[in-house]
Amino acid sequence: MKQLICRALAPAVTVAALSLHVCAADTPPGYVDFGKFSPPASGGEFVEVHIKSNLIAMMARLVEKNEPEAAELLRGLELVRVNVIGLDDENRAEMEKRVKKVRGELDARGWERVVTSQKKNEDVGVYIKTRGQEAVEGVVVTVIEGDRQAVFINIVGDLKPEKIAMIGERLNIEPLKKVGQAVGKK
Amino acid sequence: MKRPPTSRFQTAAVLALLLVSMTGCFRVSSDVGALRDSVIKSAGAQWDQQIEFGVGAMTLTAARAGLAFVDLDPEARATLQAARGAEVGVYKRRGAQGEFRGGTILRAADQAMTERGWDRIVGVTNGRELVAVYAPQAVRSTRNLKVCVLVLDPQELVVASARGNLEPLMEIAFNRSGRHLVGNRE
Repeated sequence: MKQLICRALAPAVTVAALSLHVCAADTPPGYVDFGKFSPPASGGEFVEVHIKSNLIAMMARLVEKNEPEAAELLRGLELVRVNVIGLDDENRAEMEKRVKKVRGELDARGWERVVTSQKKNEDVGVYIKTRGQEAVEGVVVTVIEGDRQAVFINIVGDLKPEKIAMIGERLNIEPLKKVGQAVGKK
Repeated sequence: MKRPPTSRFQTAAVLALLLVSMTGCFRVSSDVGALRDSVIKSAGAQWDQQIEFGVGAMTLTAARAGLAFVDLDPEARATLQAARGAEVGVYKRRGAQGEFRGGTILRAADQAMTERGWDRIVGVTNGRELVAVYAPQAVRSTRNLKVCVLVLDPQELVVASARGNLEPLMEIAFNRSGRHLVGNRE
């Protein structure tokens, strides 16, 4: 009986292991899984933007004629994920914990913290994942804005460091404008 | 020579089927219907249909032909040329407002749409309002893109979809932004 179960389970385990391997191989190095977010129970602000490579490529084709520079920038992007979660008494502790966890994981995985800003109630952390000197494979922005909101941003792609500020300008992500300056100084 | 009644019935059935698929039959499609049903089920409220309207390629072609004789703004004409189909459903909440479960509604809508090959690209909730935008997982062309939109507020639920050619619309957008820039410089 035990043998039968083992025989039945072995292929399943092998397939599961292989699919896990494939999933790991498929995930781009600049991708960070923030986990799932839910709107605050108090009815506060909740924004989720998740744009994948197929839509980005399409947008690149669309703007190619009129804005070739923007099109080139878009072609380097694979994924843009933005989460803004309004804070209330119920989710504040959890969001702060989540920000700390993400930052800890990025530190452990060798991401480089390029911007740290703590003023008044605002705590901003910007991390980049580089490939040698020539490319940035991922950018993560985490913000805790006092009692107001938590922000998680992940931009994945094959980006030229000097173009990061431009992404900040185009997508209106304030911390990324600072990253451009920080990376430019390096 | 007289045609047998079966043949006439078949011809009529084929014509009716063609008419339904080409005109949109003035009803919403199954994707928009699934989005609506998921919200109605998860929002835990009773809804009265205000309007449900869908127009397909044939109806739009007829509209374009009719409007050919009308002196129309070139941008409005270009927008009409770009449209391939549109549908909208508006439903009014019946009775008192219950608890707003934005997370539950979004999850239900996501599940319904993911099963049908759609990805949510934007989700926003604020207070008792919710907006979600879905795009097909397999986007191949900018010339025939369909998006589905869900808008929910305390009184109303709106589900809509639009299919069209994005290229002329982007052209209009660029022309307008160019004009604004020139205007600002002046």
